[in-house]
Amino acid sequence: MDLLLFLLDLGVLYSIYAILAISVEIEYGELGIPNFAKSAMYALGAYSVGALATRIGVWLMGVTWQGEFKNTSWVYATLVSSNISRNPLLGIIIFVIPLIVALPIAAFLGLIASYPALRLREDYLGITLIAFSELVRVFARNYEPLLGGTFGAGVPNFLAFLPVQLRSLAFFAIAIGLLLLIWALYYRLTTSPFGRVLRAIRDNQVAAQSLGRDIVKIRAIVLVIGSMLAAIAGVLYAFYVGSVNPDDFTVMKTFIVVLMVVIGGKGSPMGPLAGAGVYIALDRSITFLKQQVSLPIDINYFSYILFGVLLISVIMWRPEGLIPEKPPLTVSGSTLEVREEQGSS
Amino acid sequence: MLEEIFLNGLIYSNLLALLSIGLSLTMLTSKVSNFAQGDFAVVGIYAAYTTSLLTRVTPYMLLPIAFLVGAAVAAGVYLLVFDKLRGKANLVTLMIVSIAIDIILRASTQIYADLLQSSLHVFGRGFIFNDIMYNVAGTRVSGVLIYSTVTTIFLLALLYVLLFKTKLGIAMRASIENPSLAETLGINVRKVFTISWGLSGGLAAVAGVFLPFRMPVNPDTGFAILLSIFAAATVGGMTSLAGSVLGAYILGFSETVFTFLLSSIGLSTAYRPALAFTAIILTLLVAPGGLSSLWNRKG
Amino acid sequence: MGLLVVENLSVGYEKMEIVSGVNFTVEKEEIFVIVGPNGSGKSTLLKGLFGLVRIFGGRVILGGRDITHLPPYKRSLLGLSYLPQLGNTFESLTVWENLVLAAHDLPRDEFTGRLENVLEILPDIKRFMNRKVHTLSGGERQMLALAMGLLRNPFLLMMDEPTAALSPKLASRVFQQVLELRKNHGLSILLVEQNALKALEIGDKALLLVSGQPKFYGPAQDLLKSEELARLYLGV
Repeated sequence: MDLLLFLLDLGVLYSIYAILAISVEIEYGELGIPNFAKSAMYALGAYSVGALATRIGVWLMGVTWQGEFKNTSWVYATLVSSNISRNPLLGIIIFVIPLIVALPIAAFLGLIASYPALRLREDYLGITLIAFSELVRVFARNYEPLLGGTFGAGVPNFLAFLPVQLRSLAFFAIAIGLLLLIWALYYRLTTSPFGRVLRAIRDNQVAAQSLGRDIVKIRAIVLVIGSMLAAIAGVLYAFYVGSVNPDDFTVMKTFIVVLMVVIGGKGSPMGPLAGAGVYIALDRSITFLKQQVSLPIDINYFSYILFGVLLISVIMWRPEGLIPEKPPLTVSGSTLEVREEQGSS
Repeated sequence: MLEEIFLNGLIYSNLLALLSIGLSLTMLTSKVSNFAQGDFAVVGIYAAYTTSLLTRVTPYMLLPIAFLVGAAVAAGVYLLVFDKLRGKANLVTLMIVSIAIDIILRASTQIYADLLQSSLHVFGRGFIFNDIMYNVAGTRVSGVLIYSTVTTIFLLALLYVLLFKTKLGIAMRASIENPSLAETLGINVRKVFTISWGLSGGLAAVAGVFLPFRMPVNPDTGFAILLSIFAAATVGGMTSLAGSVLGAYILGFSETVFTFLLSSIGLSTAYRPALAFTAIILTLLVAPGGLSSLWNRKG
Repeated sequence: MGLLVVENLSVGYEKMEIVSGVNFTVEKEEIFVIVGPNGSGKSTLLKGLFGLVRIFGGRVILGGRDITHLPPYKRSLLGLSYLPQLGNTFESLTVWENLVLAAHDLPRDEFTGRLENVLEILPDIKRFMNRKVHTLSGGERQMLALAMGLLRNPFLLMMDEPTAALSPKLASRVFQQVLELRKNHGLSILLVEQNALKALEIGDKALLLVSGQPKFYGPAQDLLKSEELARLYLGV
């Protein structure tokens, strides 16, 4: 039973990371733009939940909020959760509303980010986006009414209306369902002519432009999609953890997701799935080891070193990742054979 | 008040100058935006700190040691990683790799800080250096003002002489412009670039040593000022050494004034990076080559 | 024994082999010409001899020593000098700095001595010693490049299309200088040229490269005279 719960739990985390990886893959693997504000978009989803879920719940319950957010959000979150156990609708509302709020904002930010993407060289763009995401974090950390600053915000359990045993299963189903849906759409996109255009731009901008492709619009579309996906992952993450803390969304998160894509294989549809899997496996192993062995060295730092070295190693020795990109599929092999038989000139 | 702002600005700008000129060096030689530049400074801090604890000498005397340690780490990073990727990786990949290096260095420093704490029973984080006060013409002047300014001027002058009056310097400038031609002429470009990175790391480390005299430091301090370093180099022109220095002083004083304004309005000084961020965006959208592109007619 | 012996050499980039199975020998004080149509791999071959591109197979032997896998800067130190077609000077540096760089491994007095010699061959350089190279004209830069190549006092000077960007008058002068270098200074010269006619006229031996394959190797005069080859590949 414990094992089942553990696996369901892991499955949710995997789905979250896989969605993030797909969002990076579309932008970076396909189009070649590294959206280093990824953790900010991710944070946006989570912050929406942190800022809104408990507040909306309290408001809908007709209770007045007393005390400062930072001190009391946890208490009120629990209150809302217990109310949800009687009112499934409340649970659904506090899950859906942050999504509805976060998605347009993420889309808008993605749109803004696509503008400098035109004018800036890739590495300058990267620096700018990282700076932006750090500023977002600093703001969330210091502006206490939003998320309680360093205290963090409590998040109600939106599935409290289900019996305890079913909650993990339900959440898992939602998470995996979202992942599969997103992956299916992503697969359609990547194997469609639009996907080919993205890769063409990635590989040679000038040539792609000369073919009349509107690069401006395409970049905007891709970054908007990528940002929204990250926000969805953020919403899931907030409910998964049950709280939102600004310090959870640092550059390290962005790096980890990029690492997943690099390991899994840039430009390949299975890549994000493989990369997320590898990372989670490694992460859990390290956590497991931490409990088994006691070292004088803090394992967390050691794991950072490990991931850094892993990324560099992959780039140096197997840059195409676990699942390399396959050359574009346009005409199927059998069709080619038939054409050959019919006599080539 | 104004005087204090000026002095703070000067000290901060001195540090930025050494750091951003190093950033330009690594950019010019390896085409990479070095995310670990701030961490080289932190390496210098801990080198000086450790030595100071063991020898009971003031960190000001340990600048050469900091320089050597910073140089060694930077040279190591170049030889192990960026030299191997020379000509093989694109800009984005190089940047991701440099972020990885930053993460590795920061984590390593964290581990070192822990070890330092447990073995020497001192604070591994959040420590400061005690400054020496001097009496100059009747006024009390802080040592860090004097030492940072003198060191910066000295090192920049030395760098200038190296680059323009020595064979090694000419080889460095030549290798930066056209590495394969330099190879053709018999120059060991790998050696030259390693030395460039070493210089960059050494300068950063020396700059780092001055930080604990002004504020508590910890392993993440390097990353915290990274944005300002980038802003300084960007404003001045990342591919121009002189530009970076100019940009450092412009940004250094601006940031000091901005911080002062923040606290007088009552906003948290944690928003300090907003200035550097804005400076970067403005510069990149208006004149991406920085100030130096305005006086450089050749591309 | 030849100064430079090339055995069954194949060179190229990353995964693409451009030149395959090339064999030739350059003797002392010989002018060796490599000709062929555009894109035949002449420049790539030269780069391969110097170690700047990937070697897929074969050997390069200089003065009896196998240098096939030696780093480029070491080959330079052994008396092999390479003058690329483009990017053969440092434009942001002054002429003087370029020359200093070219002779960086020489002790002071030897440098001064050699510089004097080179300035005798190319006296015009004295005029713009302190100017930055990007302010010079194409012909002047070419002159500087040649001076730099000569400063290294090589046994074998490899030149990649030295007349490409020059007017016919300047091009003639270059060919003149090549002859003088051989006659007065005992240099061997390996010349890659698009301007096949002129090059073959001054050359001793020639190699014809077509699509990376050697199609002719022998006395330069013979290639000139072979109507078929000359017409087919050299537009002569």
